[in-house]
Amino acid sequence: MATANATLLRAIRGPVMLITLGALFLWDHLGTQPFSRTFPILLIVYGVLKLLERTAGTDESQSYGGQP
Amino acid sequence: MRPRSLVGPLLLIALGILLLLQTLSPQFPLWEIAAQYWPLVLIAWGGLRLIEILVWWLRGLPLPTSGLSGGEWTLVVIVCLLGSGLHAAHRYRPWDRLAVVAGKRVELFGRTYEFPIAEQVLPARRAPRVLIENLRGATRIKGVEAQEVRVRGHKTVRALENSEASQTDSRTTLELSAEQDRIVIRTNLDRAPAENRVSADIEVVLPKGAEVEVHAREGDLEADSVSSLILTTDTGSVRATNVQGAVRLRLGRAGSVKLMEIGGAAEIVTRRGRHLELEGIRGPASVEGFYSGDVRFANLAGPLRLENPQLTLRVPKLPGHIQMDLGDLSGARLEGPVHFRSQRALDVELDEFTKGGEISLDGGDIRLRPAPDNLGPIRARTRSGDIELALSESASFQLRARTERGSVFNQFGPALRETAEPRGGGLLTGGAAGPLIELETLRGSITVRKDTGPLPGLRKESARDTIEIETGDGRLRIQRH
Repeated sequence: MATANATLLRAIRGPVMLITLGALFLWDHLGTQPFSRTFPILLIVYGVLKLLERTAGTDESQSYGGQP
Repeated sequence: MRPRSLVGPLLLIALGILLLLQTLSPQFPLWEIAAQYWPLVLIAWGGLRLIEILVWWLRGLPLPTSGLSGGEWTLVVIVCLLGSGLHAAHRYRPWDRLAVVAGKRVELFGRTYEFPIAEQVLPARRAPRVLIENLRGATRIKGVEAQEVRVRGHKTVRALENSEASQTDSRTTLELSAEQDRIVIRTNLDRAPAENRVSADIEVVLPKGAEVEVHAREGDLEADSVSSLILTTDTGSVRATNVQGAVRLRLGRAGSVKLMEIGGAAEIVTRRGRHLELEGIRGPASVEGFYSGDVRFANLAGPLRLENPQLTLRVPKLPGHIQMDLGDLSGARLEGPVHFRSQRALDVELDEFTKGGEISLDGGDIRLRPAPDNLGPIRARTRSGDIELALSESASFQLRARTERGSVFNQFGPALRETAEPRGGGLLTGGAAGPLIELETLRGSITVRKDTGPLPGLRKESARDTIEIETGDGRLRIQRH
């Protein structure tokens, strides 16, 4: 099941990033916060998704010998 | 077999529908909406793909290694560039500046020569009738305590060389004369040869109480302290303050129109305008035309009427204000019955309005908080959106609120009865005596609650203006743009 989760997390990474990107642009255009100030959210979201992927796939990486 | 995505075809269908709307009704502001809301395409794209992947996963189908392929990311980048470009173009309107060059071929060649317009003075009685003809350029009019009319300004001539420019300048001399019972000011720009583009910025100072009529083709107008004002022009912005009588404007394309402290009626007919602001009008105010920017009405003693192919707004009296743009209408302290009908989706918030009203939207949320006394019959209808109504505890009314698909929330108490409708709808009825309140939405929730203070959205209104903060050694002014 852990591998299935990792595959799923990898598959939804693109769409989630896309939604975040769209939300930030929309935010910018509605005059709330400029994109130049909110872009680090993209990095955070990407990092969180990567992190979840790693933790979901620990069984796998351990069998390959730990550190990726 | 790996399943194939449905997102591409769905997005194509959405694009087709939008373009069809634009071709079928040219009034549909597709580009303005696209410039502002294009990121929704990214969100929809991502959302649909996300749902798709989750569905595949739940069904145990093989998942793609990455949610979006390299080609799709390229497309995303292109969409972002196009969308940002469109947004920037709509915000900074470079075509307004381009038109200055493209519309006047000769301006690419030649130079601009400036000439002063020598001051001319003509004695006049109090409250004269004045006709101003200035085809191109800014006109500023000011009424003062004086017994004469004074005109001065400067002229801009586009020509290849100085001699040509000064010849054109001498041909287009300013004329200030008394004709029958009125005073005429003409800049005579129509006498200039076609290849020399001339514009005249003039300043007219005249006795207070003058009845002024202005004919122009392009250029801004500013008028202060006159008795009445009539203006016809093709393009330009208008600003009129302290007019004792009526103001009548016939504009083709208007930049911004601002009328303040008008003693009589205000009548504005525009084909298309950007911003509109009417404040302190004592007579009836009537506006025809489509405005794409901010529209604001405040402190109107007479009835207000705003009409264009997309919406109708009628308010008998407006001691408070109404503010609207393409997506919102909010108002407070209206004397009803208020009538508002829109064929475009937008959210409506009305606070402290009396004598009820009728609100009909094609889409968008409605939030109403009628004034506690003088409650009138209300009819609010939206095709898709939530309706929220706040009523004072002591109000007497009859309610009939219905949603065809959505939930009903009764936060008013046992006075109201909730019944479920077939197909996931709800009905809320109650009350015995008093005006009838009818709320209806085809898709959305309905909330009826006890009045606990102004609508949250309306607090934004005051934040829009200037905030002044007292500091130890002075005042700090913060202006919100």
